[in-house]
Amino acid sequence: MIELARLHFIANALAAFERVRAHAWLVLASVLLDVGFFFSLGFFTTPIKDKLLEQVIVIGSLLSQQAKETGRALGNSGLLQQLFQPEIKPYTINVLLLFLSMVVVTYVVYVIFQGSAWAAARNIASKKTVLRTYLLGFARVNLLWGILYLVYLVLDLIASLRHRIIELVVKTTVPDLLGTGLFIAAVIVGLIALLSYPQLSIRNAFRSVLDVKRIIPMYALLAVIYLVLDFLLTQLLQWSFEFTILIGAIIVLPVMAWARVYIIEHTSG
Amino acid sequence: MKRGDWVLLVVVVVVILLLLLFIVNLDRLFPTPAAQQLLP
Repeated sequence: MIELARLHFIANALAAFERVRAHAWLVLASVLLDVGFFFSLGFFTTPIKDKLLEQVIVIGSLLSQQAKETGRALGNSGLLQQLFQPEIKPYTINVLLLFLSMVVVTYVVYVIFQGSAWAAARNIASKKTVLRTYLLGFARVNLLWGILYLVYLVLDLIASLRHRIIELVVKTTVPDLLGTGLFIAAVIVGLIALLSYPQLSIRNAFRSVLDVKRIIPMYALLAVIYLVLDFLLTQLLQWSFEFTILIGAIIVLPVMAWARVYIIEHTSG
Repeated sequence: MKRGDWVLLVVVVVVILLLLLFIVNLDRLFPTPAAQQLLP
């Protein structure tokens, strides 16, 4: 144990744990902010998702109605042209607007709740932080990550459509390599994004990534903790759903608060 | 709390209210044939 504690990433993890133990009220605030984040995200984005689906269904039924009338699936023109013909165009524009508003709503909710949680984590890590200054910086840094997330969503949509068409043509299940590749790229960008939060600097995030000897063990430790929790909760889920949610909230949310403090400790030490 | 903190709190509350306003008016902003029939 003493030998382990000498390792830099373990020492910082233990230091973060001590700091979390010493700031119970800030940890509670962090937990409540996470609960608020998940609740608000669902509350604000579910109606938009439902509306988006409604518009897509209308487009689908209008297209199939036309196909029935003309006797051809897409007529002589492509799908994009069909989507912008006068009868369907308003719904297509609605889909694009709803898609954009979902990204904006996600961004706003993320900045308010996660920005406050990261500000609390900085204070737990004894890095005195003024909430309003931090939130403004958090909003600025996340503009880049938000745009990249939007690009990912669009590319993922294209990839899943392409995959679906390929499966329809070959009439068998095919592994979605492009979709998986995009998902892995998005996870890597997400991990880099986390590194930009301690100092609110994108340049520092990329500089930290290059320091692989420091960053890889930190993320490996976080991944191990995540996998262990995921395994335990999956086992519990077979027993009782309500109990799993309760235990999950009691264990996972403080661990998330600790993980933020750990990332701050480890990247600024 | 300092003046800036109050301003931040007011901005956050206004943003959340605007989001709520947006959500409750989704049917009016993005009408579909089915939703149009339901509206008075």
